[in-house]
Amino acid sequence: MSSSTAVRDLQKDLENKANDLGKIQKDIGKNHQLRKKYTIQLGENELVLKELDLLEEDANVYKLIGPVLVKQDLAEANANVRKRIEYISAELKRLDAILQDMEEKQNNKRETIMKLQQRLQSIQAGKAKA
Amino acid sequence: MEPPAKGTVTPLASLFSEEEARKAASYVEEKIGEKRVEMNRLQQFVDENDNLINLVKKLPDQLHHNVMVPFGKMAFFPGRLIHTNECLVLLGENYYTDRSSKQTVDFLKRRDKTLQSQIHSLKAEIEDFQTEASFFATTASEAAEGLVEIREEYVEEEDLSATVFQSSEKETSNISGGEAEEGELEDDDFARIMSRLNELEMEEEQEGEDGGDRGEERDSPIEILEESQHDLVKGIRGETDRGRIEYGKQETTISVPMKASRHSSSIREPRVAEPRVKAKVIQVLPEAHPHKDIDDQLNCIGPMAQYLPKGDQSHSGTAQQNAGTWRDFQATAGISTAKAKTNVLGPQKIESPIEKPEPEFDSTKAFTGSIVEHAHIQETSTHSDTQSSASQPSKPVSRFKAQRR
Repeated sequence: MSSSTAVRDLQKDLENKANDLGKIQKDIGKNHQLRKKYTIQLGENELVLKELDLLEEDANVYKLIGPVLVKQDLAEANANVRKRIEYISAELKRLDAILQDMEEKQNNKRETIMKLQQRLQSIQAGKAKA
Repeated sequence: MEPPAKGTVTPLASLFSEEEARKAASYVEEKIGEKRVEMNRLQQFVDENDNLINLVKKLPDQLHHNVMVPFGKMAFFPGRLIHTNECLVLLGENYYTDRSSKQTVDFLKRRDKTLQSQIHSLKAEIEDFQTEASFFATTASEAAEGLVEIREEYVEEEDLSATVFQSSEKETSNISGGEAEEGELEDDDFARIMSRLNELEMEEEQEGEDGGDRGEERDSPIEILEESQHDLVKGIRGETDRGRIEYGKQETTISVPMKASRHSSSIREPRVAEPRVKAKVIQVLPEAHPHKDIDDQLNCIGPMAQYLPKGDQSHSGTAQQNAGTWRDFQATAGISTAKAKTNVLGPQKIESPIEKPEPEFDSTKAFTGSIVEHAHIQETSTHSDTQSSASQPSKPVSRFKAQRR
């Protein structure tokens, strides 16, 4: 009788762990998407920066804010874009760190699940013999 | 007498189940599809950009254009386009700027360039995926066919190099011992193939001598050789399909890439990869030398050595140099192929570097010593066997030959 309760406990444990793993995997997927978005933005900003650098001093630069084009200083626009790039790269770095962390967690979870499965199997095999 | 083959035989199907391989292949195909869609999108951008460039170029030709101005979704009314040399350009990230037409065209061209580079990288990615997919597909089909992978630890055989005739005897006995599952009937085929290979190499080397030390000149001979080797491989393959033998303590080698690589990487890769693997060659070369002092071997490589006098005795110096560079090249080629997934062609190419230089190194001795002409085809086969045994220490990859064991 005790072995059957042990098996049940193990199974419950296994289920919980599997759920956790699924959650982590989902998070990783989300993280990937976010990363992709940021990478695209970074590329766009870099293009803009390149173009802004190519503009002559007296060129008119506008920023579209809502429905209106607001005239902006070239230097100001340049500084803004630079800051944005900085911000995005920092964000990318942060995401990278998180991703690494999550992957580590995922691997750990996977290992524990494997161990649990093995234990479960050995118990069941023992029961079958008995 | 050597103990018969000591190694493990694993059916390919047990390593990768056919189903899994198919799944992987279909997964990769899916990826390819995604990338294709992405590329189509980019291509569309490029086309639009081209159209825009043409339009912006034409605009300032006239002071004003009569156009139909869209008004709402349904209506148009006649209008006139003025200020034809002024464009408001979106730089991205909601930044706009006033530009003249010419500046706009410049900007658009820069954008085109970035798009093109993106397409380029995407294309490379797709190509990558395609080779992967074909690799998986062949794995699946070969697993289904029931191929086996045979691995053997390579054991250094010093005595082999000392007495070649003995060793060749050993080799043959070895072959018959180890090859029990392969069947004997392939020996003749192999002998035929080897003699053909030797012929090709001779031709090629003569050509190479004509070409001087310009390494680049060799491109075409190599290709010829490789191609003929492919044919030969096809021939062998047809007969060995029941079970192909893998050899080497080298990293995991799967016999699968054969088909895929034969077409895709084998021809291109060796040349492309040549410069980057130079370092490895140096490792390979010194090991190859020990065998040049084996006089007895001459008896066996007679067929190879005898053509040399015909060739270029006076230029033996350059010839040796040639052999050196040639071998460099071949060795790099072999190694690079081995480094890539291409496992099967590597060995073939490697075998030639060692086979070829040897007659030349021995050539001085060959003229003084006794040259035994072995025109008989069986002789050639022993020769090649010996060579394979002799050349083994110098390179770990002779799987092509190992197939015989």
